[in-house]
Amino acid sequence: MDFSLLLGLGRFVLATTLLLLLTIPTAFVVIQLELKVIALMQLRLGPNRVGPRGLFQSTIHGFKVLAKEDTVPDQADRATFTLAPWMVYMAAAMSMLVIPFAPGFVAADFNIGVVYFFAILGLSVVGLLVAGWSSYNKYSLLGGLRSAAQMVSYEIPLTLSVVGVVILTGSLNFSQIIAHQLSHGWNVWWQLLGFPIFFIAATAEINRAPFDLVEADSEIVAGPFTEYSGMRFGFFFFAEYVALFIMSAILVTLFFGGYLAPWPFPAQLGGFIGILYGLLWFFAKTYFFIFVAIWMRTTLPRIRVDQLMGVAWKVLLPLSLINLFLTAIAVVAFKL
Amino acid sequence: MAARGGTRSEHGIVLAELEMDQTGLIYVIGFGAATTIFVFGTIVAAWLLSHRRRTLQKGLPYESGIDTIGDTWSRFGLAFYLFALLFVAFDVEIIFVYLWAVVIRAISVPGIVIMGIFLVVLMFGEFYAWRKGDLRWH
Repeated sequence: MDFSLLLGLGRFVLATTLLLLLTIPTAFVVIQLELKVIALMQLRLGPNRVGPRGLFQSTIHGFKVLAKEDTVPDQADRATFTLAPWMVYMAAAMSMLVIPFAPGFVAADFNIGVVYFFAILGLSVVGLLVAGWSSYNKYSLLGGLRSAAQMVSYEIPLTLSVVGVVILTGSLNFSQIIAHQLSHGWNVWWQLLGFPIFFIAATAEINRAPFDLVEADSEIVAGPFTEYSGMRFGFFFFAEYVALFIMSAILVTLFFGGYLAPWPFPAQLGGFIGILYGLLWFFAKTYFFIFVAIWMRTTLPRIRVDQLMGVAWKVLLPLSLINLFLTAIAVVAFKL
Repeated sequence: MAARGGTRSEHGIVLAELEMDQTGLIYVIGFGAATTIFVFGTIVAAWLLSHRRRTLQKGLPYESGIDTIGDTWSRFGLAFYLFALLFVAFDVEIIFVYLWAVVIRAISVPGIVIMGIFLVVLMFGEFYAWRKGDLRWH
């Protein structure tokens, strides 16, 4: 038996298990954070019964969903109705493969990491569309179509704003993007136009407020999730919060130095200490942007559906193209 | 696909190792399989755990308590198709832009001019849709 093959297999199993296990506490922590932060911002107490200071509220929610009755509407298309939550969850979970958590602490360090990430994340559109269609409910169908139109429209400025970062770093590999930021400073300082475009488009892409039209209760009930219940609904919910975490992680990686500390020293710690130090900064920055997303939800009113498409195609797309050319001209002219 | 530790040429282009490394592909397929097992395992576990009591009402579509009128899988707004068409045009273009962005230091000014022409032609289509009012929601 080839020893290196066995080692590689062990690494694969370990990485897969760790990533899949990470999604569960991540979802619980983000949901708990959302409940508590929104409550405090609205001068309420928020959950304070389950566990010390209500800490286990979201965990209990998770187990409750597991024990709920899972109904399928009589006229729904059973096969696709079951496949839809799987598609949405898989799109969110599989994009975690390329996130660098700490130096050398990445499941698969693809050369085409950026392309892989956006390709896989884009698959969740298919899941929402299938969920909307298979439910045999007019609200679901409209919600599914609306979410597909929204996510597809915002994917263009989202991916185009990342091109600025790719031009700066000359690489599609997330580890090399971070290595470039170690020597040149965080990309956000070089992408003062690209970062706001990415931030707005990312918020719309994961259906967070103020772009949460998919779940505009007063218009289309719960959008594509209307007919879902039990664990099948649970996976949509799960995927949504994992996607929030992943978007924050990628935003941090692309623009805020990923696992690097805000100051240049120590440049790169080695070994186990280095990984712990990297993890600390990575999670601190990621959870800061999750907090910002929750903050926006309490602050901003929902955008109107007729304004939604206009923002993507008439404002963000031209701006992201301008950003692309400005970055390219600057890189070539000043030999950055 | 996942060749690690590529070397940098004098133009700053990352040259991937030429040998084909299949590890990345195994990771993608393997992780997809693991996720599938996780999702359906959990759904089956929930099915075993949960109580089930079917009633007629539970199978009806939820439309705010009003009976469904007409067929649900019928025609819907054309606007959705238009956005999908625009998306396809731009999404194909983005993959070219990514490749161009990686080698921008090597192709410098001519590269920028060529990409400018390409994007102007593409934006012409966008402005056409804009003028026709297809970007308005109706």
